[in-house]
Amino acid sequence: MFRAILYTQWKWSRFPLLLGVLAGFALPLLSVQRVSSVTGYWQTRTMLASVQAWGILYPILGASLALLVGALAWAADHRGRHVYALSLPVPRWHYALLRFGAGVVLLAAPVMAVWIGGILATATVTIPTGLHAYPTMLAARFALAVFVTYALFFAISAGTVRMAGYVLGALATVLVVEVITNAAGAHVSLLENLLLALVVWPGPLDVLTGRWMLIDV
Amino acid sequence: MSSAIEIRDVHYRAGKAFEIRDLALNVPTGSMYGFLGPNGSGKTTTIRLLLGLLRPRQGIITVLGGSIPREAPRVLARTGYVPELPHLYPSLTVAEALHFHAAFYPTWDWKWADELVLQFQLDRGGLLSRLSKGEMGKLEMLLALAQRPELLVLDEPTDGLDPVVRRDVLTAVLDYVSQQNATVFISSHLVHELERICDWVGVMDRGRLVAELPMHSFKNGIKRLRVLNAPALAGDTPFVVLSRDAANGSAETWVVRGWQPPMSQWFTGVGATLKEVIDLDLEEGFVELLRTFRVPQA
Amino acid sequence: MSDVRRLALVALAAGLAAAPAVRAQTVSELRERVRRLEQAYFAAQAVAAPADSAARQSNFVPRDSATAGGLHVFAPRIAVANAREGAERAWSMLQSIFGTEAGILANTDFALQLERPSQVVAAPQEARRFIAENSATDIANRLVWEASQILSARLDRRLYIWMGGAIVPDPHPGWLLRATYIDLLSAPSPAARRCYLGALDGCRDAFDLPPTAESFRRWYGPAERRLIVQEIIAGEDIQLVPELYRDCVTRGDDSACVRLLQRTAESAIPAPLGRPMRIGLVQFALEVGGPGAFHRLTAAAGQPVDAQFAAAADMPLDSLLAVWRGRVLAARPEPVTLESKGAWVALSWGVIFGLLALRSTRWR
Repeated sequence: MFRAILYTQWKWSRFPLLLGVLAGFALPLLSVQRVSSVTGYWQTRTMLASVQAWGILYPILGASLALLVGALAWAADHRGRHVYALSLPVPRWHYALLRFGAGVVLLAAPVMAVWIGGILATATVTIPTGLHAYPTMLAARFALAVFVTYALFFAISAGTVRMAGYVLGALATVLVVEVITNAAGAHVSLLENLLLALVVWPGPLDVLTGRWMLIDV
Repeated sequence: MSSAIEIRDVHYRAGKAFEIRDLALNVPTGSMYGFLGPNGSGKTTTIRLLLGLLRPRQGIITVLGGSIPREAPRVLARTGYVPELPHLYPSLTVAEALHFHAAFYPTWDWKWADELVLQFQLDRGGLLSRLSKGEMGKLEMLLALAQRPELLVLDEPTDGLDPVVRRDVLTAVLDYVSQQNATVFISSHLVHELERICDWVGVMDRGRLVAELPMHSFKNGIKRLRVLNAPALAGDTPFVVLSRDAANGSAETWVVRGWQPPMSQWFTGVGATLKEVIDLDLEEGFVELLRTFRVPQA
Repeated sequence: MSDVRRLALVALAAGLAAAPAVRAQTVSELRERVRRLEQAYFAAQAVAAPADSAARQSNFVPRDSATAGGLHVFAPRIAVANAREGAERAWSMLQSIFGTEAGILANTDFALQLERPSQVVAAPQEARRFIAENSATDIANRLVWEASQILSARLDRRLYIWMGGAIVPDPHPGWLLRATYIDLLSAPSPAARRCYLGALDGCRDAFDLPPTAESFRRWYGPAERRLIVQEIIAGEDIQLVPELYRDCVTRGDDSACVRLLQRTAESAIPAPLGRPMRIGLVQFALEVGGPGAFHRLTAAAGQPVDAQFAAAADMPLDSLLAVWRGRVLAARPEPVTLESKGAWVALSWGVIFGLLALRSTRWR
């Protein structure tokens, strides 16, 4: 049963996944590419700067893949108004769990690509004294970021149109309240606080923020 | 007589425009139950209710001995369902759709599935999104049959199909029923189609079950009578007068339900003459039934 | 309109009036323009100050005062509780660095001007005014900064120039040590690298102790000098001597690079351990030297800069640098990878969202 679900999800999300695997493998290699041309005392600074600059792309890649795989897991069922899925002889929670698990398994591929790419990248450059390579920790962080964002987008995508309406309505209400209170002279930052609650520890998207360093002190 | 499907006092409301009220329905085990009704009468909604795809506001639904929706997964494992509109994943090929579907049914019969693929002339490598309407209809039927279900629920399975495909599909269903003694619940607005194959019939209109009876009672009980010198008021009749229309002169045409030959005596008693008793086919009976159902409401 | 904004407008108008038509200018011309703008700014300030003073007097709110140690603060009544707490915190921080010398602050009054709501109190003419939010933390930080300027003004002029700014006690000194670690590790300087690896002469060179005329020679080797010319200070001055630039960058002639760097303003050449690290070293010497350290530092004014350090820390410079280096290395920042706490939180969020998804309803 799981294999059948896994196969369908693979078929729907194979193009973004393959691109993700490619990008995940290439990112660590690209992040140290410039370093190999720099020698002497500039190498440490160049390495840190380059790794940090390329590091921005890990959470972007992870979140994009999670969004696509999470949304594509349900897209076909949404199109068929869930009639087929609901007529299958499995409880709804079981079906959702199968789809969720299939997405997690598929997303393991780009995580592995980041890990292998990281190991290769750090093996191909000379790391200056005082710096260390963290390919495994980087891949683990990437895995967690992908897992959290996938779970979030999967849950959103699993919801009904009515639920999406409630969420959008709540957001619109917050926005209207903020506009009205600010117009009345009171300084209220509901949306800003909402966003901060998401991205600042212990918010769910905190794992995406901060520096992503393949090589660090 | 045990029931494959039993619905009691079901009430369902979809928005403000449509509701199903006090629905009671009984499908005997092993029967072929034709579910008739015009478009929008509530046939598909009833089917979705009995498969647990919709939740009734009240009432009891029992299918294959299991309560719906509580035991829906167990019931669905023994039920083949062909929906009104294609619902399979269009990005899969025929072979992939078969493998996907088979994974969920422990009773799946690959041998028969392969035979049906050949019989229906389906291309295993063909993408579902590129199948014709007829091919898709055949595939849906194949998936429902190859899981060897005890109950087949077919929602307008031949709607829009050409006569050849329609015949193939219905033949496959009849073959299966003859082998397995399965129960078939088939909805359609194509009355002729059901007339040939069903032994029970239920008629839906405007969210209510208008009639439910064995097919032979339905077909034989509705007659068109040509009556001379009919009384102005029919009074107590041993049959149900569905309609009266003036013909030419003193002749009238009556449509009645529950007719039996000895009832011709009644006309003599009221001074009228029964000139002719004409058998109506299912479609004519269906139309007359709906007409009488709707008149009092109007 | 606030006094600051008015002042800025006056200065801007004066500057624009003084500005010649926009055209290509040499660095020396630009410096002359900056000097003229500064003059215009101070002239405008001289005009604006009495006006602001008059405006303030008409807007004074009732005041109260808060005292903590040698700090005496006039504050609007609504902020006096925060001012008292802020002054206590500030006094504690000031004492930790300046020790007994912080007592001289008793000669100065401070006047708090609230930022939001804008409130000014009447205070003696010589009182130092400072602007802060009505919070104990902000008041403490601003007060520490103001007081530090007064105390740092007592330092030897050469030491002050070497540091590049005042000593301001930091409530969270850990970040500076971590930043120093990164600079020591990653600065493109052989001196810094030697210091990182344990050679104290490398630390002296990286800090330019004692200060020398051409510190860049101590900091960087020929390869680094060439890259500094090419990537950091390839400005207009260098373009004026294209042959030197070509010899330095294209031909790799170090003498050309040195001559170019000699023509460059000292502040334009990046130090491997810059201003915050130098101030941090002085603070460290004061910390090591104990309560009398700042007194010894000011008492040693006139001596060479490295001797002033030794006096403050009450130990030889190399010993001080060794202890400092040990502290910096111990403050090695956590690598930015994955903390177990963050990992568990992320995992928990994933599971929560997953469970929410499992509740996906079949009623559609």
